[in-house]
Amino acid sequence: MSHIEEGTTTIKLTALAAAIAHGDTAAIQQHPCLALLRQAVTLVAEARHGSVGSTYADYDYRPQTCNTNLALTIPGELPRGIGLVIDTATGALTFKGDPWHHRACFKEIQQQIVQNYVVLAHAAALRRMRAQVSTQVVEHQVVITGVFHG
Amino acid sequence: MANNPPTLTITVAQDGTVKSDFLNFTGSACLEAGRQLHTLLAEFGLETAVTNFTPKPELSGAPLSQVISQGEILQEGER
Repeated sequence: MSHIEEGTTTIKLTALAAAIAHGDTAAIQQHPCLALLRQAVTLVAEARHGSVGSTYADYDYRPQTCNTNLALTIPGELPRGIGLVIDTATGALTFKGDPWHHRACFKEIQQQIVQNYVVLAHAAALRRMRAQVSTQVVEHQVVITGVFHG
Repeated sequence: MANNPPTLTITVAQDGTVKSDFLNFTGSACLEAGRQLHTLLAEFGLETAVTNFTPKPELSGAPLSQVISQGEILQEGER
């Protein structure tokens, strides 16, 4: 009747990467993975009083584009921001930016975005399975509960 | 127990590792739910690699081949 699984996760957005590589703007904007990615970044922005834009800044505060058009800036903590870039060859999610003086935060933000993405993907998958989904944060871990009613 | 609905509790750690606890499923239905979950996660660009698979006592009634195919981490003689 039941079992427990433990495992690792890897974000690999190959379909979105293909749309980006082909410059298919409509497919990119409608892609469910990009919607989850945007949500994952927005949650971090809200929690840390930051803002989501389309560019991050280099060492000289010159704006840099990223192929997802998603970048997070946090005044004080991460003033140059961090950009989300998808490797169009592999689909891997990568992060770009200048972490000078903010290295710890730069790393922490990446981890939070990835954790949020993993949570949001699981919640979306459970909803597709017609489960009633709820989430709660317990000591930096997120617990997702999916209940299957009939 | 019989009246409790099937429930899946997933704990996501800061490093992105996950622990999925399948509760109140009938027979080997938890294995099918796990497969379905992994397929849907792949659609959302999330690849999962199972590092540990622990059948609960209730699952012992399920066909052995099903248990082993789901818990690929299990090696011969580990059960």
